[in-house]
Amino acid sequence: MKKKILGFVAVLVVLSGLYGAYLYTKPPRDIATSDSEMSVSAEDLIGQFEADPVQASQHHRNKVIEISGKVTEIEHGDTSTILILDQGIKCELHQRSQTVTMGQQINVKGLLAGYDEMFNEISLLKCYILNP
Amino acid sequence: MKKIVILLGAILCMYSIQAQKKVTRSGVVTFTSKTPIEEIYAKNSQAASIFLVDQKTVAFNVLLRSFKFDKALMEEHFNEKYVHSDKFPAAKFKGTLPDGIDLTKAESHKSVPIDGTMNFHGVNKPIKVLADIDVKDDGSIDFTSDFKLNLDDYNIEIPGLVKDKIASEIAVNVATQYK
Repeated sequence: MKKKILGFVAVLVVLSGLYGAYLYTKPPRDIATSDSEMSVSAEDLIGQFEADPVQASQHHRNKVIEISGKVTEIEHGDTSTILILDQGIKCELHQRSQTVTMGQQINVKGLLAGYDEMFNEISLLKCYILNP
Repeated sequence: MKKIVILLGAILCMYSIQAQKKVTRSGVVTFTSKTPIEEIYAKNSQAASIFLVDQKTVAFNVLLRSFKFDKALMEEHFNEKYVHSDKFPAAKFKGTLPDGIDLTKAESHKSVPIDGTMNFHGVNKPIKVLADIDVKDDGSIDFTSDFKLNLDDYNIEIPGLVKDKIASEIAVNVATQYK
């Protein structure tokens, strides 16, 4: 009986150790393979943030969101490309991209990070373009 | 005729004011916490910044949730346990360059002292940083700065259990290009 309990405890310890190691080394969420938790037009999302920035931030942050909108600005950094949709949503692409053009209508999927008060823009990161 | 002159003057004025305000949304801010046991590195590639060349002021707004980590758990702990990014979503810096600096011509300025205020984790603190400012021929400006942030100064508590995994002083690097 004692042996059985000891064995059981040993298995438990090993399992929890493995689980801990799994948690510890787990990579961040991969947006490409995550399902979107919400699909919205750029105009609609901007409207929600204009109406109540605090509530909209709380509600949407850290969610994978799919947005359709028009590219109104493109900025290439050293390591990233940033697209502005409908003059109010900032999408940081997961890698640099030269294929997007101004005025293009696109669907992107990304992780909503919050609201940038400097330029009054909703911020998304790790964005993927769904319709190239 | 007079009206046209005034109008032209007004347009010119507006243009020159606009031209002196340089902005970027693709600033890169990284930080490193280094202890013998663990090195933690995170990168933000979408720092927003405004450089007012005439007023010689520079301002940054960096969303904490836009920092990317190697491991999911680091990202989660950073946001939820240490910087509380839901309550304090952004780190902000605003600083002034020395009066004497001439940013109107192409020139490379090394270790320019910038006097400013850091707003981070709900704490406002005066801070002095050094920056390399490189004014290019086309008027674009490269800005880089390295400085250290002491977690104690910003009331960021590290629990005893992980004390030897997280440095008390975090090395920050900022690199932006204003067009």
